[in-house]
Amino acid sequence: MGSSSVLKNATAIIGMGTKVVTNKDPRITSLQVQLHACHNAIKAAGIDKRQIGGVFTCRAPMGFTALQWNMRIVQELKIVPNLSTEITAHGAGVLATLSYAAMAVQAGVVDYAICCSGCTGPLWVDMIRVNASIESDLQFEAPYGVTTPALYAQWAQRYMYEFDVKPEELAIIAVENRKWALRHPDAAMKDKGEITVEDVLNSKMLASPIRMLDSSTWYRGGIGSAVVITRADKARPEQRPVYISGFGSATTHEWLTDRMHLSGVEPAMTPNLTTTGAKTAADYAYAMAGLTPKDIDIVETSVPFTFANMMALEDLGFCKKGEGKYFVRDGGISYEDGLPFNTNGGYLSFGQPPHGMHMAVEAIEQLRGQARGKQVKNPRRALTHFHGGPLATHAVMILSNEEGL
Amino acid sequence: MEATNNNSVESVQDMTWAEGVPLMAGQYMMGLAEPSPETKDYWQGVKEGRLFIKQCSGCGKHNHPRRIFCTACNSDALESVEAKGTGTVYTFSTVYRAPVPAFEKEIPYSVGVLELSEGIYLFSRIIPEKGKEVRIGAPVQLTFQETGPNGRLPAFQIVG
Repeated sequence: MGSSSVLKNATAIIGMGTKVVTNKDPRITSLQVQLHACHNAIKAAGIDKRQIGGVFTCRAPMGFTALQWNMRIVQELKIVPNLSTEITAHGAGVLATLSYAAMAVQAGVVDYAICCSGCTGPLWVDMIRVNASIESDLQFEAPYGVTTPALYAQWAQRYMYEFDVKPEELAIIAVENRKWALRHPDAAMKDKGEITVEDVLNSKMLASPIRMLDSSTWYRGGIGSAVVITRADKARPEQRPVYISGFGSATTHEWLTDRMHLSGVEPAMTPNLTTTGAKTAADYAYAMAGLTPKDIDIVETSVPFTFANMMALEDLGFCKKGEGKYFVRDGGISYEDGLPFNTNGGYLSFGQPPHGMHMAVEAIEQLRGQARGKQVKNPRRALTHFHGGPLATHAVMILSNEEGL
Repeated sequence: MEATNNNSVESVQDMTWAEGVPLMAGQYMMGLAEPSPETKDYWQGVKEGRLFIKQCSGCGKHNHPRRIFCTACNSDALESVEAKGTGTVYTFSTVYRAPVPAFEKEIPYSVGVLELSEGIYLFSRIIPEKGKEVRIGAPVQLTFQETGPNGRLPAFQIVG
């Protein structure tokens, strides 16, 4: 363990609230799902909502677009925060809300902050169409007929070419993720049974080299999530505090093609499509926490394709660049005895509510010993990685369940 | 939603940046494109069947057609120059599920990132040689192709 920052474990998550809606429930909006989560989190924290001085939201959800999303949340909560903003870095911004909240409480500007996110977009709009237009350059990429998988496939093709990664090696990730999802009551694929490598290889090709089962599944509904944050010295045992040990973010581009025009700055000293900003974000988080990948018990990532999960394992430091295929092939993320990886099934099998904190929720539940799926035995530290855009923006946060860890 | 605008590339050039232009695929609006001052020459070139990129008149470095400041020396003295139209395939994907119905009749088609001879990267359609697959590193030559609902756009043909 190296030296750590004064921010290490100085901030505690003291309340968490969620709201799950599926396509079998009455249809509700993203605003509704987030407000349920907020009120649940405030209740769980056991504080008065008027104590909340900071409100940090994700960007406006899809299918319910509004400028300045935090304004909608504040208006409905009927509070008057000192600090309030949306954190706009696509999916990574969702996790980064916690970083901003942590800095706000550490600066002493506010005592309590709430962070919220959630989207019920799949109940309202065609996500395949909408997402492609959000994730591509509308002048130079979208006119060619790109889909979200076709954008990510540009990374996949190059990654597989440079490191000789085989589709059957990537497929293992889908197979292992599915096993976790079968145990989780909220997972989109919980009733779909196990899958095999052959199932993945035989599934429909969407955008080469990406097949259907290499891809995340859109969550048929949405999940709202919120957490309440304060300084560690204000946390009470009955709040089941989870501590923020370290965090970091990195944004390398907005649109795919421009990733190739970035150079001379980590993680792109030379232009490439094989290392993501997750590496840089993780470096910051490990440094703040004074930890290394060996200290991590659980990993939750929001990347939506098998290849991107393999790249994430490398970029987050669990194996060297190009060695993800060996790590995965040798049981590195085995459901039975490997590194607990995407313990709710991940984006591939838990599903992808378009904009949500549910992978962090899973980490917090695991650290509290309250997993609703398979509980990892006595985890102490979890690493969460959120990403957005075509591997454009990344946030990493390390959480622990003991202040001294 | 009622599609009321003209989908042709010409309509893109006639718009000013402030108005923006909805990028339409049949009935679906893909989003708001931004034909903007810095890409005016690029879209004029597309109309004439020519490919314009940017070059820095300070340091000489070539830049992507959407750049406003040179990525090497941070100068804003970028000029539009016609690209040679040659390069290689850096990466690609062959699309089997279209984003919207307007692209379905072209499936499967390949899209990818080309490394142009001038050292910049450009996203485009990639047309393989007859009966062959697209491959990384393959040399390409500029052509123009009817593309989805968007008229004739720059595309790259694999040559040898």
